[in-house]
Amino acid sequence: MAKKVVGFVKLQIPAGQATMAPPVGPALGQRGVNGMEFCKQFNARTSKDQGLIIPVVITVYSDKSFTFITKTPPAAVLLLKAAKLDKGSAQSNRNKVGKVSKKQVEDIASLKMKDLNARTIESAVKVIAGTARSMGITVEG
Amino acid sequence: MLMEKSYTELEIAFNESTYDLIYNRLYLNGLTTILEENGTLKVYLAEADLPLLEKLVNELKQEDKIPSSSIHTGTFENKDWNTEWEKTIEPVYIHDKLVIYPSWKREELDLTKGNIPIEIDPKMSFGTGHNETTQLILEQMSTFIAPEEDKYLLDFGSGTGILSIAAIKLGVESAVAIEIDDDSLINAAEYFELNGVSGNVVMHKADIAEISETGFDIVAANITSNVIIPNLGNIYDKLKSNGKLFVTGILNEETETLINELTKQNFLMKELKQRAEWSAFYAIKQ
Repeated sequence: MAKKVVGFVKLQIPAGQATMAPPVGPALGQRGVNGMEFCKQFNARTSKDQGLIIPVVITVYSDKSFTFITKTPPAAVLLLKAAKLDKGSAQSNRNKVGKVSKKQVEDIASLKMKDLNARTIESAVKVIAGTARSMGITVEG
Repeated sequence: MLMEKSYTELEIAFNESTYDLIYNRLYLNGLTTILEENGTLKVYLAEADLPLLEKLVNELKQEDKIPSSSIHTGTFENKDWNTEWEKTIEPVYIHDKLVIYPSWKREELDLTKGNIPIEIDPKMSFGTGHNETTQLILEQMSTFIAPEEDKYLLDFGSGTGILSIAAIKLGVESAVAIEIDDDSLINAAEYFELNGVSGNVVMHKADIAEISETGFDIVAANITSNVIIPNLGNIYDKLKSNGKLFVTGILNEETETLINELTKQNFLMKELKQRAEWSAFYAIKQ
């Protein structure tokens, strides 16, 4: 079918936990998107990623249909998981709350590469290491 | 779970250097469902979460890179958003012959004009009746399909399957619907069942060159020109002599190109219809 795009909606939602509560319901409903159907599809497709936050871009078409793509979880979420932490440091300069290895940072950078603006894996590693520092997580090695 | 009547909306303007910082701060405070809109990140807090709001705003204001002026809070009145959305979907009438409607409008449908009903709830496949391309091609199909001679339809890029459903309801005996998108195939199967035409339609996840069926009386295609034009030869081969071709999804500025390509492939143009930026073509295989 010949589709005409009329807008995009960008959200970050915990895997398998989309509901019609704000912001999902109003963001989609006001753009003519079947929010219940989105929640059902998103939850089904991300159920295997429970515990992660999933960025999603919803494309809205002129006939009120929609499609969506999911992206890799935010670096902060992956770093906390790698460091086995529940949360980062409120004062990251003074309070170091955990550590990750260089290999873990490289693995996260590889996973995130397609969603980052980084051109090389080295620059992606730098971006992820910077995020780790801002959360009070030390990169070892 | 009871629906909250109102939420507090926290909106923080971001730039490239503060995006991750703001996001991380929201996440670290347990706010994980976030809307990115017009250069802002927005989160919504129910009444029970309000003690968190002050803490979070203070934390954000302590970040050197985030100006206080970029942080705003306000009250957001909640609604039943699905009901709000449903209100925006009205039945679409095609030439007093067809009416495409969502399931929640079934009871209030006006069938006094003798319309043939087609039930489609907008989901994840294109072809809900709300776009000009679908309306144009259905207008042409409902005008030119003659059930006494047109028995067999190929629906090329079927989306919701609306063209197959309409054709069967207009008197065509059977249809082959081809589509390469998995979501659309799932949706179409549901709509075929709902509209009572499952027994008349065969679906394939395939391109036109991959299917074995041939000898169609009609080919209907609502796809873009970059798919249609390279496949005009395949369409020609699939049609019987004097078979009917209905094509839309073509932009008005591509009209001349498509007419030239149809002529090259030995199709005879019978009618061009245009609405908004879209064109629809009815042609006959010579």
